[in-house]
Amino acid sequence: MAGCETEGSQIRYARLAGFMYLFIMAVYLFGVWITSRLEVPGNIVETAHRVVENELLFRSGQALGSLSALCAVLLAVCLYVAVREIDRNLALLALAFELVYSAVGAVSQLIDYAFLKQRLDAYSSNILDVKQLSAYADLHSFLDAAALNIACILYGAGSILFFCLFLKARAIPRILAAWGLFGSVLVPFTGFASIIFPHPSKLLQLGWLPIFVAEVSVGLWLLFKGVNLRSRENGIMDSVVAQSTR
Amino acid sequence: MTNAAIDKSSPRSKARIAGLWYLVTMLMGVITSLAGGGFTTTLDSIRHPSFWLGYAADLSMVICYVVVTALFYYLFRPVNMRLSLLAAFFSLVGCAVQAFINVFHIAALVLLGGAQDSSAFSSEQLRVQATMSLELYNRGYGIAMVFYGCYCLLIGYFIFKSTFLPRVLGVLLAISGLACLTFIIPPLAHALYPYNLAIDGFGELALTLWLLVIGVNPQRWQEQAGAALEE
Repeated sequence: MAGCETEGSQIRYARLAGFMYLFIMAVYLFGVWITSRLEVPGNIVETAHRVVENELLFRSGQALGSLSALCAVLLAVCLYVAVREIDRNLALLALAFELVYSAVGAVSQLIDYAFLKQRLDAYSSNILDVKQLSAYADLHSFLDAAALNIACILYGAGSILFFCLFLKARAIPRILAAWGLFGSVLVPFTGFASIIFPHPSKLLQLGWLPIFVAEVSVGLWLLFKGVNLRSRENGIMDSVVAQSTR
Repeated sequence: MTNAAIDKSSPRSKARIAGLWYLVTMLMGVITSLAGGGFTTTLDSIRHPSFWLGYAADLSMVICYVVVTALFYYLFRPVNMRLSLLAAFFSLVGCAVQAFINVFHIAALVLLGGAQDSSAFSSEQLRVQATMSLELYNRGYGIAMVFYGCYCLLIGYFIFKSTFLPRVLGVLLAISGLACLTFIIPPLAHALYPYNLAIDGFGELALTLWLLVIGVNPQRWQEQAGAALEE
């Protein structure tokens, strides 16, 4: 009876994890879309003007970034509960990486808020000229990208472990787990390469694509199908048999 | 090999793995310092190509320390499960801070590297801003050290209370923790530098070598784990 309750709870957490995968992606992209709509490329004065005119909207876009970092904690906990029976220690390590990633992601929102404040103050008091504002806008985009890439390096480490556990236990179709693992391995490399080469080639940008596809597909799978506990039990049994025959 | 044998060998092997990851963490710290990264970064070293080696080592150090944290949580759970979780949280917050402050190095690099419109600020203004970025990194490093200090103090306490590691290691690690906690008052940390870091390093190195060479006493670890489960 208790076992059934545990299984039920694990399936619920897996479904919630699937939902969180999709929700986080939607929230984050929506936030980026809002803030990018207010920015006029190459025209910092017009951008500052638009931001001042639509301050609430701009702040809402930034708040969505914070919300996605918060939801990443929920996602990590849901994934941890869903896979902890496979390997408690690896699941815990993955959770630790994801928590550090979320913290870095949340704190990095400070960069946005600091530069927003600077833009608003500079616009109202004319203490910076156009060139200086433009230089700070460049700095802002570099720092934003650097913080995101640092966070992604940590995220990739956690994601590798979660997908390893999915693959090991066959809790989701192997092709999905293997693709997720492939995408996760690319994340730290792409993140680090993006820090070293701040103007990356389009080829480097493609490094984010596999994890994006993996998260959408695994998110949908977990949301609608949950985790396959029977396959997972077989996977665990296989590993126990392998250990005992060694 | 029976399951019981697997379980008994588990804490010792995990302790050795933790020791290995701790050693790699310390090596990354040394590489960071030698390459002019971390808190040793200056305006000159940031423009040197070896800066990227230090930068990569600094981030790798954080990744390795997250692994150490997870392994230590497992290792010291039998001593006190709740406090062990609290200790892990202290360490993870320290890791998050240490990972984030690398952004300030990128800021200094962007300011000095000419990635921006060079006519917007005079070279002196750029130097002042880059210096401020490095100072912010150092302040952030101090904040991370405070969290690591709390972590080391708790690990020292766990070792002292445990039956599977020598108590002297616990005392050494508690002293390491106190040395890290000097960063809570930056002028004090500055006055005691580099002795505070040397004391911290000594305690951590002693624990690392012990874990790596001797590990933990698996029988006593099992006994303490069993006693914790009964409570």
